[in-house]
Amino acid sequence: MNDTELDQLLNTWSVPPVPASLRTGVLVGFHARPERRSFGGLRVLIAAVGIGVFLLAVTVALPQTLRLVSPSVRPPYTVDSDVVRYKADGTSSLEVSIGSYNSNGSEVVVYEATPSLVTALRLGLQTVGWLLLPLQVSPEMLEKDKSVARGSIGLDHYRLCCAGSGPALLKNGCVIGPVVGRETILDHPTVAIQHIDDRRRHTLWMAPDLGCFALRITAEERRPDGAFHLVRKKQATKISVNP
Amino acid sequence: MDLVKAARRGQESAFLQLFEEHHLPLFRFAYRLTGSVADAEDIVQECFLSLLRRECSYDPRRTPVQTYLFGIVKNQSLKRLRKRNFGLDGTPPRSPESQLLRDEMENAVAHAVMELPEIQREVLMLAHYEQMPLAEIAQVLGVELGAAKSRLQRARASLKETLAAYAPGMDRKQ
Repeated sequence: MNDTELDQLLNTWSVPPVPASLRTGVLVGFHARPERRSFGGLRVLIAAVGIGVFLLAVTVALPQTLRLVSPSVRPPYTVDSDVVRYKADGTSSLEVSIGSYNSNGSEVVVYEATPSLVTALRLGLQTVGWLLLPLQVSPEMLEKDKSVARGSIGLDHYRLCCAGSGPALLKNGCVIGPVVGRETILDHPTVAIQHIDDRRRHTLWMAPDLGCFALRITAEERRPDGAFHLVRKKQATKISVNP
Repeated sequence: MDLVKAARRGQESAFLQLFEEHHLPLFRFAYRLTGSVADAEDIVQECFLSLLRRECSYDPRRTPVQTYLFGIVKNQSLKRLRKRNFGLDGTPPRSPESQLLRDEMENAVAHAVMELPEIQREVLMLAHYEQMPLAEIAQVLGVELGAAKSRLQRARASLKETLAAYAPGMDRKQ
């Protein structure tokens, strides 16, 4: 059998006429479909306003959890850090996550997030925080933030240490105590200084090229036997330049 | 204006124009795939209504509407076929004596085609009965052009063998 003969044979298979009910059925279906709403754009607008109001409410209600600085004072860099608390039984837990930078030797906190909000907020704030809430923090509020930081390298926030004033740090190349080591953390050279008193020992790894920002801080408490026991540690996890 | 877009906005005339332009080949294809007038009617109706749904994935920038509709019919038909055994419930009536010979041949052709593997059958139907170019067939079926071509060749070779008894000049065997 050649191709032409096969085509002729195949053509003998005819198709019954299309039932008239098909057209009717399709038309009935067309008119029975749910009405399309024509105000999709309005719904998007309402949703956007709703999200904005929600974020505003969260910011106002949880000022210690969420604080943003105005994008009009964008920092040259921000550092994401985790503060971990260590218990006597050897277990540890994330206490807070922070996004911050140093301004004139003082740490300015961009955001803080407690563990329950860490994952969502860290991602959310890093990506959209600067864009979504530009009106949340006025320059006056920012100045207040800075005064709270008051040259503490942000340590007062977490009761880790009090290393001295910011200007003194900058003037001395971050060295305001005994140097106990040097280490590169997240590609930034740091100098480690240590402060010891009767009860505690604090070690700070500060990066001169980041305005003496402490990329790692450890706080240890002295035990009755004289040995030090790590109780808190702040560790930088990510540095974003020109965020 | 895009007819689908207009139909989605509620323009009956646009919807009807779409229907008139495409329903015949779609019905033929559905009928030949399922062997049932009732199934073909349901499938084609559902096919057109699916265009109106919000979740419809039709994108005019990627696919011509005919290609998209054939794809829907193909999927719906095969879904139904898998649910039941094939049976030609819509074949033409066979009463008149003069039609007996032709009816027998038509039946044989229909059954021979329906016995082809699914992937060969759909290519043959689109290529032979709908005269669709191989490139478009490949798009409807979501396969490479070469695959569509070889499936068609295998389908035709198989049919030549199966229907050899009905070739002109041959004595038919029952």
